[in-house]
Amino acid sequence: MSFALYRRPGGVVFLDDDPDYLEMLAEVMPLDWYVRLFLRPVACIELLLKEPARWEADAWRQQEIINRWREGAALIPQILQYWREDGTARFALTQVCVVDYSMPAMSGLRVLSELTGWSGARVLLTGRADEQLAVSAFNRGLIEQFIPKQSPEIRLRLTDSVQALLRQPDGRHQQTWRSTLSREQHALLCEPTIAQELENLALRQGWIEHVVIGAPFGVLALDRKGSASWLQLEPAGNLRELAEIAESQGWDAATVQDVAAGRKLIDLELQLALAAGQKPQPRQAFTIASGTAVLHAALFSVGETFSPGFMTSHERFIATSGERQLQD
Amino acid sequence: MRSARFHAWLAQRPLLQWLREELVLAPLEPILHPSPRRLWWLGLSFFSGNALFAWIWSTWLPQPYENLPLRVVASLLGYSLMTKRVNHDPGSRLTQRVFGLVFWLELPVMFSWMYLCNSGSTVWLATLAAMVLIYYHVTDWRLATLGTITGGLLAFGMFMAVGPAVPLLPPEQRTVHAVVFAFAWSIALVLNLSSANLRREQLSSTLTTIGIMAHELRTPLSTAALLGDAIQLEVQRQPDNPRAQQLDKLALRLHALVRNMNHQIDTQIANAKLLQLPRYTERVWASKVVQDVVVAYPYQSSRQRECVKVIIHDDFSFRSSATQFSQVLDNLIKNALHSLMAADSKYPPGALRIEVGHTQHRGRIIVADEGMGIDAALLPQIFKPFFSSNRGTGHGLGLAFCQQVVQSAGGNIQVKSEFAVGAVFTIELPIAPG
Repeated sequence: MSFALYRRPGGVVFLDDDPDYLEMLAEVMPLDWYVRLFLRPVACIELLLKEPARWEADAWRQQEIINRWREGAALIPQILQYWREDGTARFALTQVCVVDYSMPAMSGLRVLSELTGWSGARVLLTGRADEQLAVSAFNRGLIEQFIPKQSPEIRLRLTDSVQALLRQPDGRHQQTWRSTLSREQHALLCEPTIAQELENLALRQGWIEHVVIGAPFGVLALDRKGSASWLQLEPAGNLRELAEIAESQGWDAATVQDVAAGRKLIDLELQLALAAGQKPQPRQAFTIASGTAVLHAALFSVGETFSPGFMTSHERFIATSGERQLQD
Repeated sequence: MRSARFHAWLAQRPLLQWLREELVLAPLEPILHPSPRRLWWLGLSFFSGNALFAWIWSTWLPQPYENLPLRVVASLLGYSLMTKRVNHDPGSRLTQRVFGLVFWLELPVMFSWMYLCNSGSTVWLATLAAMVLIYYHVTDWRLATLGTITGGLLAFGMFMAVGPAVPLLPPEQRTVHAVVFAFAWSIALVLNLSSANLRREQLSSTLTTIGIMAHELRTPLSTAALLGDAIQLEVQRQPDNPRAQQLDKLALRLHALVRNMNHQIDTQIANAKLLQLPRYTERVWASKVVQDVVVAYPYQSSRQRECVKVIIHDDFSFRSSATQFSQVLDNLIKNALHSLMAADSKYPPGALRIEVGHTQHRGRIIVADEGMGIDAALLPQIFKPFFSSNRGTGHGLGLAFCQQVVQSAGGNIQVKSEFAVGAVFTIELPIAPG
């Protein structure tokens, strides 16, 4: 396992011919999911087929950030700007589609086969009779998962599966952001212990969206209230250089010593990138280690002026997306 | 691998496939519609019919050849079917063998003999035609076909060796007789085949019905499970609500109910697959399968759960399918609990006892209950498909399924019961070597 380079929340679509079932799903699916419920396959297909174009535009927007970075523009302010300008549109893009196999109008597999160009994850709900079909569809790679409706603990199985699929990063995003990382940086993120530590940190901090970049090396993240934070990462070999810069910028000897020893980190590069005239601050650092590889890390909050803020936060997006109603 | 190729080859040949199903795969039924009463009446008709026709063909409407000693023997053979020892258990090996032998001797052997000895008279041609129809009506068509051919050959051989010196059927009439006989024979064959099909149709339509029901119910059941979840989540959101505990309990009840219904559907589907049971030869450990089933069974109350006592004397393993065998035990437990309920039991511990042990060569699983017991008159039939001791609630496939699974594992299942005392089902299985 490696730490996802880009991850963000997305929508979940359920399609079933039974309105009662959909309404109950709406009741029990986690409240922080953007859930849409469809009774009619045609309506569902129509909605999902509108998405690839928006995906494309969004992916291109990210690619442009990289292109401008190659021309000399800093990454952090660009990403923050992208988030501010996008508002909440990206949260509405569907990442997982859960379809009942047996529906009167068309089978679930038929629906999924019509979704050419839509790249999200597909889950099939099955009954007793159609389990074989689901297995073969799974083996042929047509679906990511199938869940028998009669399985005990259906809610847990469904939420766990969909949650796991929501957390899976998009391949194209991975590729885009991989290009900002050096080989050494990427290797560090692929260390299982480091990846796990970062994953835990993301959970503890309540990050719902993050992007890993290489210059400067760190994770720019958003929590559900729309506040941004910066996790600065420094490989052990970089500490001396950082200490020298601190010394040249006039920090006292004790701080310079702390930086050199990895006890503290200073957000020099963040403040440089934001160019807001704020003085860099030293922060308590912690280490993330995996065997011989050691990463020093410190968490800095990004000022309110730069954060997307609550108005474009995921929490507000969910709160304003209204009741989970059947779409007809 | 070879069998997979064989099946693929077969799939392209519908006629061969049909023949294989009818000839090989369909279960053999040596006695059609077996019941002690029916056997008794069949015995009586042989017993008195032989005496009656001995008089008719010798005195009233004399025929060229009639044989009194033969009629006496035939009468006595018929009488054997009237004895309790033979007819009390139509499912037993003994009864099936006696029945097969008596009908073979009385029908194809004796009737062919009389036909030949009377030089193929029209009287005996008509009788021979009626015989074939009767024969196919009482036994499996495969046995009837084999019996008609071997019986005819035996009678002909005896006629040539020790028969009376009478002329054979004139050559010019032979074709006419052959056509008449062939007509009767083919009609008998077709009628029997179609009724055998009908019985299997009934099974497969039951399966279809249950399948449709299961399919239609799966979403409502799943919805009910989610409803239970929704209640529980609501409780978690308001833990201080004074009724929270009660609501949580109700949600748990709802979940248990859904589990129970899903379990029922699974069991019924397995039962109705009677004729399509695939054969398995995985090694199954008796104590494990018993314990797993007892733990997983959806009891209606904790009292019910606690009345089940598992006693392992000796463990053993056998070759079968763990899934199918679990369904067998499920069926037996379900019947036993049903019977305990019918007897208004207080479910004392041990009211349902399951024992695992073995003799020298055979493993044994006993399921014993202290319930209602089974009426002695019904005992012989309970393993028959579509026989149910309570027509209203069961479709009578559970025990037929049990027998099929146990027999395909090379074992047998027997029942002993006394009304109002309880029932003991004993499954004996060959122990898997190694």
